[in-house]
Amino acid sequence: MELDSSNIDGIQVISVKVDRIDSVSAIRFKDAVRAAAGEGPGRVVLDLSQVTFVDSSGLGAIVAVMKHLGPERKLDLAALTPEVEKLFRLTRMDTVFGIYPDAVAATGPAAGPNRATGS
Amino acid sequence: MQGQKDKPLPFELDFAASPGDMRRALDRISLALVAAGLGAARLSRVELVLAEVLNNIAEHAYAGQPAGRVRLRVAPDGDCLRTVIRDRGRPMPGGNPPKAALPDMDVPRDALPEGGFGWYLIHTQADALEYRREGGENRLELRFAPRPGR
Repeated sequence: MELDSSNIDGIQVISVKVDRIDSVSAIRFKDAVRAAAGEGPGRVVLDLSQVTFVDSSGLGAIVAVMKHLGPERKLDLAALTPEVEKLFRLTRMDTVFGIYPDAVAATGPAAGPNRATGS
Repeated sequence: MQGQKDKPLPFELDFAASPGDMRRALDRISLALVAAGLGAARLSRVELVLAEVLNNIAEHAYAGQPAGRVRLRVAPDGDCLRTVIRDRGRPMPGGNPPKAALPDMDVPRDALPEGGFGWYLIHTQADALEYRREGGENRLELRFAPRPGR
Protein backbone atom coordinates (compact mmCIF):
# COMPACT_ATOMS: atom_id res chain seq x y z
CA MET A 1 0.00 0.00 0.00
CA GLU A 2 1.55 3.26 -1.13
CA LEU A 3 1.22 6.15 1.26
CA ASP A 4 2.89 9.51 1.66
CA SER A 5 3.17 10.62 5.23
CA SER A 6 4.32 13.97 6.54
CA ASN A 7 4.06 15.83 9.79
CA ILE A 8 2.70 19.36 9.56
CA ASP A 9 2.75 21.30 12.83
CA GLY A 10 2.28 18.11 14.81
CA ILE A 11 -0.48 16.79 12.55
CA GLN A 12 0.29 13.57 10.72
CA VAL A 13 -0.98 13.89 7.16
CA ILE A 14 -1.22 10.58 5.34
CA SER A 15 -1.97 10.64 1.62
CA VAL A 16 -3.31 7.42 0.17
CA LYS A 17 -1.72 6.73 -3.21
CA VAL A 18 -4.06 4.04 -4.47
CA ASP A 19 -7.39 4.49 -6.22
CA ARG A 20 -9.32 1.77 -4.39
CA ILE A 21 -9.81 0.84 -0.76
CA ASP A 22 -11.81 -2.35 -1.13
CA SER A 23 -11.90 -5.96 0.01
CA VAL A 24 -8.64 -6.62 -1.82
CA SER A 25 -6.69 -3.78 -0.23
CA ALA A 26 -8.51 -3.16 3.09
CA ILE A 27 -6.15 -5.10 5.34
CA ARG A 28 -3.01 -3.71 3.72
CA PHE A 29 -4.51 -0.24 3.95
CA LYS A 30 -5.24 -0.65 7.65
CA ASP A 31 -1.75 -1.92 8.47
CA ALA A 32 0.00 0.72 6.37
CA VAL A 33 -1.96 3.64 7.81
CA ARG A 34 -1.45 2.43 11.38
CA ALA A 35 2.29 2.22 10.74
CA ALA A 36 2.38 5.65 9.08
CA ALA A 37 0.40 7.24 11.91
CA GLY A 38 3.05 6.11 14.38
CA GLU A 39 2.76 6.52 18.10
CA GLY A 40 2.80 10.29 18.35
CA PRO A 41 0.16 12.32 20.13
CA GLY A 42 -1.12 14.49 17.28
CA ARG A 43 -4.16 14.36 15.06
CA VAL A 44 -4.10 12.24 11.93
CA VAL A 45 -5.48 13.52 8.63
CA LEU A 46 -6.12 11.01 5.88
CA ASP A 47 -5.91 12.62 2.43
CA LEU A 48 -8.15 10.59 0.13
CA SER A 49 -7.87 12.78 -2.97
CA GLN A 50 -6.59 9.90 -5.12
CA VAL A 51 -9.15 7.37 -3.92
CA THR A 52 -12.06 6.97 -6.31
CA PHE A 53 -13.61 3.84 -4.86
CA VAL A 54 -14.29 2.67 -1.32
CA ASP A 55 -16.59 -0.26 -0.55
CA SER A 56 -17.93 -1.47 2.79
CA SER A 57 -14.65 -3.31 3.51
CA GLY A 58 -12.72 -0.11 2.90
CA LEU A 59 -15.10 1.85 5.07
CA GLY A 60 -14.65 -0.74 7.83
CA ALA A 61 -10.88 -0.40 7.51
CA ILE A 62 -11.05 3.39 7.94
CA VAL A 63 -13.21 2.91 11.05
CA ALA A 64 -10.75 0.33 12.35
CA VAL A 65 -7.88 2.82 11.94
CA MET A 66 -9.86 5.43 13.85
CA LYS A 67 -10.49 3.00 16.71
CA HIS A 68 -6.84 1.92 16.72
CA LEU A 69 -5.74 5.52 17.23
CA GLY A 70 -7.80 5.59 20.40
CA PRO A 71 -9.83 8.35 22.00
CA GLU A 72 -6.88 10.75 22.33
CA ARG A 73 -5.95 10.93 18.65
CA LYS A 74 -8.54 12.20 16.24
CA LEU A 75 -8.71 10.87 12.69
CA ASP A 76 -10.00 13.40 10.16
CA LEU A 77 -10.51 12.98 6.44
CA ALA A 78 -9.64 15.35 3.63
CA ALA A 79 -10.29 15.71 -0.10
CA LEU A 80 -12.97 13.10 -0.61
CA THR A 81 -13.81 12.44 -4.26
CA PRO A 82 -17.54 12.68 -5.06
CA GLU A 83 -18.06 8.90 -5.05
CA VAL A 84 -16.33 8.46 -1.71
CA GLU A 85 -18.10 11.47 -0.22
CA LYS A 86 -21.39 9.90 -1.27
CA LEU A 87 -20.55 6.62 0.42
CA PHE A 88 -19.79 8.44 3.67
CA ARG A 89 -23.07 10.30 3.41
CA LEU A 90 -25.09 7.15 2.65
CA THR A 91 -23.68 5.27 5.61
CA ARG A 92 -23.86 8.33 7.90
CA MET A 93 -20.10 8.03 8.42
CA ASP A 94 -19.97 11.74 7.55
CA THR A 95 -21.32 12.32 11.07
CA VAL A 96 -18.48 10.33 12.62
CA PHE A 97 -15.46 11.87 10.93
CA GLY A 98 -14.36 15.42 10.50
CA ILE A 99 -14.32 15.94 6.74
CA TYR A 100 -12.30 18.76 5.17
CA PRO A 101 -12.19 19.93 1.57
CA ASP A 102 -8.44 19.35 1.40
CA ALA A 103 -5.36 18.68 3.52
CA VAL A 104 -4.54 22.39 3.76
CA ALA A 105 -7.93 23.13 5.30
CA ALA A 106 -7.54 20.13 7.61
CA THR A 107 -4.24 21.37 8.97
CA GLY A 108 -4.88 25.09 8.90
CA PRO A 109 -5.38 27.31 11.94
CA ALA A 110 -9.17 27.05 11.72
CA ALA A 111 -9.11 23.26 11.77
CA GLY A 112 -9.78 22.74 15.44
CA PRO A 113 -11.21 19.46 16.60
CA ASN A 114 -14.77 20.77 16.44
CA ARG A 115 -14.49 22.93 13.36
CA ALA A 116 -14.95 20.30 10.69
CA THR A 117 -18.12 20.53 8.68
CA GLY A 118 -19.78 17.29 7.74
CA SER A 119 -20.38 18.07 4.11
CA MET B 1 -13.19 -14.81 -18.96
CA GLN B 2 -15.41 -14.45 -21.95
CA GLY B 3 -15.82 -10.95 -23.29
CA GLN B 4 -17.94 -8.99 -25.69
CA LYS B 5 -17.66 -8.64 -29.43
CA ASP B 6 -18.66 -5.29 -30.88
CA LYS B 7 -21.39 -3.81 -28.73
CA PRO B 8 -20.41 -3.20 -25.09
CA LEU B 9 -23.71 -4.63 -23.82
CA PRO B 10 -25.02 -7.19 -23.10
CA PHE B 11 -21.95 -8.38 -21.32
CA GLU B 12 -21.36 -11.70 -19.65
CA LEU B 13 -18.45 -12.87 -17.53
CA ASP B 14 -17.64 -16.14 -15.83
CA PHE B 15 -14.93 -15.87 -13.19
CA ALA B 16 -13.71 -17.22 -9.87
CA ALA B 17 -14.89 -15.61 -6.62
CA SER B 18 -11.27 -14.74 -5.78
CA PRO B 19 -10.15 -11.20 -4.96
CA GLY B 20 -8.06 -10.80 -8.11
CA ASP B 21 -10.65 -12.21 -10.52
CA MET B 22 -13.43 -10.22 -8.92
CA ARG B 23 -11.50 -6.98 -9.23
CA ARG B 24 -10.69 -7.70 -12.88
CA ALA B 25 -14.35 -8.49 -13.53
CA LEU B 26 -15.43 -5.20 -11.93
CA ASP B 27 -12.89 -3.30 -14.03
CA ARG B 28 -14.14 -4.90 -17.23
CA ILE B 29 -17.76 -4.22 -16.36
CA SER B 30 -16.94 -0.57 -15.65
CA LEU B 31 -15.20 -0.24 -19.00
CA ALA B 32 -18.17 -1.81 -20.80
CA LEU B 33 -20.62 0.49 -19.03
CA VAL B 34 -18.57 3.57 -19.86
CA ALA B 35 -18.44 2.41 -23.48
CA ALA B 36 -22.21 1.95 -23.38
CA GLY B 37 -22.58 5.57 -22.28
CA LEU B 38 -23.84 5.02 -18.75
CA GLY B 39 -23.76 8.25 -16.73
CA ALA B 40 -21.24 8.73 -13.93
CA ALA B 41 -23.79 8.68 -11.11
CA ARG B 42 -25.39 5.43 -12.18
CA LEU B 43 -22.01 3.91 -12.99
CA SER B 44 -20.80 4.53 -9.45
CA ARG B 45 -23.95 2.95 -8.02
CA VAL B 46 -23.52 -0.14 -10.20
CA GLU B 47 -19.82 -0.44 -9.30
CA LEU B 48 -20.49 -0.20 -5.59
CA VAL B 49 -23.43 -2.63 -5.59
CA LEU B 50 -21.63 -5.24 -7.69
CA ALA B 51 -18.53 -4.98 -5.50
CA GLU B 52 -20.68 -5.59 -2.41
CA VAL B 53 -22.54 -8.49 -4.03
CA LEU B 54 -19.28 -10.16 -5.09
CA ASN B 55 -17.74 -9.65 -1.64
CA ASN B 56 -20.77 -11.34 -0.11
CA ILE B 57 -20.50 -14.30 -2.50
CA ALA B 58 -16.82 -14.77 -1.63
CA GLU B 59 -17.29 -14.27 2.12
CA HIS B 60 -20.61 -16.03 2.67
CA ALA B 61 -21.86 -18.18 -0.21
CA TYR B 62 -18.41 -19.72 -0.76
CA ALA B 63 -17.16 -19.32 2.81
CA GLY B 64 -14.78 -22.04 3.91
CA GLN B 65 -14.38 -23.55 0.46
CA PRO B 66 -12.19 -22.90 -2.56
CA ALA B 67 -13.32 -19.92 -4.63
CA GLY B 68 -16.26 -21.09 -6.73
CA ARG B 69 -17.47 -19.62 -9.99
CA VAL B 70 -19.56 -16.53 -10.49
CA ARG B 71 -21.49 -15.72 -13.63
CA LEU B 72 -22.44 -12.14 -14.16
CA ARG B 73 -24.58 -10.74 -16.94
CA VAL B 74 -25.18 -7.05 -17.56
CA ALA B 75 -27.83 -6.07 -20.07
CA PRO B 76 -29.83 -3.00 -20.93
CA ASP B 77 -33.58 -3.31 -20.32
CA GLY B 78 -35.44 -0.27 -21.56
CA ASP B 79 -34.25 2.66 -19.46
CA CYS B 80 -32.83 0.28 -16.90
CA LEU B 81 -29.66 -1.65 -16.57
CA ARG B 82 -30.24 -5.22 -15.48
CA THR B 83 -27.58 -7.37 -13.85
CA VAL B 84 -27.91 -11.05 -13.03
CA ILE B 85 -25.35 -12.63 -10.73
CA ARG B 86 -25.23 -16.39 -10.27
CA ASP B 87 -23.13 -18.53 -7.95
CA ARG B 88 -23.24 -22.12 -6.78
CA GLY B 89 -22.48 -21.47 -3.14
CA ARG B 90 -24.68 -21.72 -0.08
CA PRO B 91 -28.18 -20.30 -0.32
CA MET B 92 -29.03 -17.06 1.45
CA PRO B 93 -29.94 -17.76 5.08
CA GLY B 94 -33.73 -18.03 5.37
CA GLY B 95 -34.07 -18.03 1.59
CA ASN B 96 -33.96 -14.24 1.31
CA PRO B 97 -31.27 -11.59 1.04
CA PRO B 98 -30.74 -9.69 4.29
CA LYS B 99 -32.76 -6.51 4.74
CA ALA B 100 -31.51 -2.99 4.17
CA ALA B 101 -30.67 -1.90 7.68
CA LEU B 102 -27.92 0.57 8.42
CA PRO B 103 -25.94 -0.49 11.52
CA ASP B 104 -26.52 1.67 14.58
CA MET B 105 -24.21 4.66 14.28
CA ASP B 106 -25.30 6.43 17.47
CA VAL B 107 -22.85 4.50 19.60
CA PRO B 108 -19.59 5.35 21.32
CA ARG B 109 -16.67 5.75 18.94
CA ASP B 110 -15.00 2.50 19.99
CA ALA B 111 -18.22 0.59 19.30
CA LEU B 112 -18.74 1.89 15.76
CA PRO B 113 -19.45 -0.83 13.19
CA GLU B 114 -16.62 -1.95 10.89
CA GLY B 115 -18.99 -3.89 8.68
CA GLY B 116 -22.63 -4.62 8.01
CA PHE B 117 -23.02 -1.89 5.38
CA GLY B 118 -23.08 -4.17 2.35
CA TRP B 119 -26.75 -5.08 2.10
CA TYR B 120 -27.82 -1.61 3.09
CA LEU B 121 -25.82 -0.24 0.15
CA ILE B 122 -27.11 -2.93 -2.22
CA HIS B 123 -30.75 -2.26 -1.35
CA THR B 124 -30.48 1.52 -1.45
CA GLN B 125 -28.31 1.86 -4.55
CA ALA B 126 -30.11 -0.68 -6.72
CA ASP B 127 -33.71 0.06 -7.71
CA ALA B 128 -35.05 -3.47 -7.66
CA LEU B 129 -33.75 -6.74 -6.32
CA GLU B 130 -34.93 -10.28 -6.85
CA TYR B 131 -33.35 -13.39 -5.37
CA ARG B 132 -34.05 -16.99 -6.31
CA ARG B 133 -32.46 -20.27 -5.46
CA GLU B 134 -32.78 -22.52 -8.45
CA GLY B 135 -31.01 -25.69 -9.52
CA GLY B 136 -28.35 -25.39 -6.81
CA GLU B 137 -27.64 -21.79 -7.83
CA ASN B 138 -28.13 -18.44 -6.20
CA ARG B 139 -29.57 -16.02 -8.72
CA LEU B 140 -29.65 -12.37 -7.81
CA GLU B 141 -31.18 -9.95 -10.27
CA LEU B 142 -30.69 -6.23 -9.79
CA ARG B 143 -32.05 -3.30 -11.71
CA PHE B 144 -30.62 0.15 -11.94
CA ALA B 145 -32.98 2.82 -13.20
CA PRO B 146 -31.94 6.35 -14.06
CA ARG B 147 -32.37 8.62 -11.05
CA PRO B 148 -32.97 12.35 -11.10
CA GLY B 149 -30.12 14.58 -10.03
CA ARG B 150 -26.49 13.83 -10.55
